[in-house]
Amino acid sequence: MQDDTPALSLRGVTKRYVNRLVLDGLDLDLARGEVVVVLAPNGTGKSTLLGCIAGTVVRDAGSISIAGHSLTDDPIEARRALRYLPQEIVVPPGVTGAELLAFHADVFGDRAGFELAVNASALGEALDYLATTYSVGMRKRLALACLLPGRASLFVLDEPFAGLDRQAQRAVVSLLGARLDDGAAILMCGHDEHQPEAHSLPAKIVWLNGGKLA
Amino acid sequence: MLASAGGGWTLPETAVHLYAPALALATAVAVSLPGQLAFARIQELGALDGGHVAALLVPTMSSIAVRISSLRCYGRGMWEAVAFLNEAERTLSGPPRPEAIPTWISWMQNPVRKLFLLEIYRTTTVPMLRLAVLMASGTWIVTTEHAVVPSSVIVAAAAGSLWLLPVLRFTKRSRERALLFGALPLSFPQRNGRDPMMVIGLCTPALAVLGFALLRWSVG
Repeated sequence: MQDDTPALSLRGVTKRYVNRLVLDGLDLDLARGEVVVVLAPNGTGKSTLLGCIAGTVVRDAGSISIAGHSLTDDPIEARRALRYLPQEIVVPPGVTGAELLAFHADVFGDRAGFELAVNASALGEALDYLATTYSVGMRKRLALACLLPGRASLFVLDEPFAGLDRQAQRAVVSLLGARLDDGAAILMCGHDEHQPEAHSLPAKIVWLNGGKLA
Repeated sequence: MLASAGGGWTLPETAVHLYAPALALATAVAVSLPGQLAFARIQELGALDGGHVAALLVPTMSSIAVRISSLRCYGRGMWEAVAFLNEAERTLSGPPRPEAIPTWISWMQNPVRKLFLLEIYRTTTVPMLRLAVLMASGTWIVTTEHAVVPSSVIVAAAAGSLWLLPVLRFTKRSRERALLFGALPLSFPQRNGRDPMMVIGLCTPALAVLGFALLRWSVG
């Protein structure tokens, strides 16, 4: 039986940088199995919105719940239900791709998910190389594979298709589709409503304009 | 032994990371040598002839001139070359496949601490050798029957610094780690790229050795 708790619930989320209001009291609900793509030009707050939901950016006001867990009051359980792909992919020095995948599998207590992530990354023997030596596309593949261990209710993806070749984009769509079938929701952002990759998922498009969603 | 002393680096990597800085240091020493000889001559003879004055001043003035002019003349090009230097370093380093995880790190149950230790093991210079030097220094201070003198305390402090300074440099990368860990279900300090217990654990050997040295020195 599918859980009816919304995968994501935002109420009055506000973020201001000095005297510039980036997010102006945003409300948003994502049901399980739903895909929402937030579109906006550069520098209008998409990554800030996604960072607030992931807990990596501190919001000024408002509440965020992930799978029924408040990000403020129950931060660990909320994050257990969340997988976040940031725009800037950070890999720690001295660690191979396989070791980073194993780290994520261990954090979520899902060693079986490690094998899934290894196969999904399609990085082959490069997984045994230091991740700092990867190209941009390889880092993106690795970061996407890191999202797979564990059972997530919400995927928050900041421009997931940027830097990926066509084949990798199709693989990502396929993986995300499987996660949707499992009852997860996806919130992603981009610049262009004509992104064919995004449209191959059953996505609802919303615009972020002047700090408001429309 | 070389592999162990190299902290997981391959020999070509060791050449880039250890021998190249050593060469730079040797060059700096060589440039400063005429100046040191000139100072020694002043101490011994109380005077310099024109040749010695030139040997003292020319490298010094040249270094100052290069320092002032280089950023203006070559600053932009120098930073543009960084990408090429990185590429050259990668080429010299060979395949970027590090050594396997040491068994004692793979025993760690906490994934964050395991990742921290792996990062320290592979990115700080000769970690096991530095720890061995510290332990040897501590063992000598604890077991020696001779009185601990100030020079012994200085040696203990040096061995402690040798272990601590590269490790503490690691703690400064917390902001980058916060980007990696911020959205994961971890404790608040770990989400911010910090682990106070880990830092305490890393500092304890150095502080214990220095503390023992000071204690034995103070009691004579």
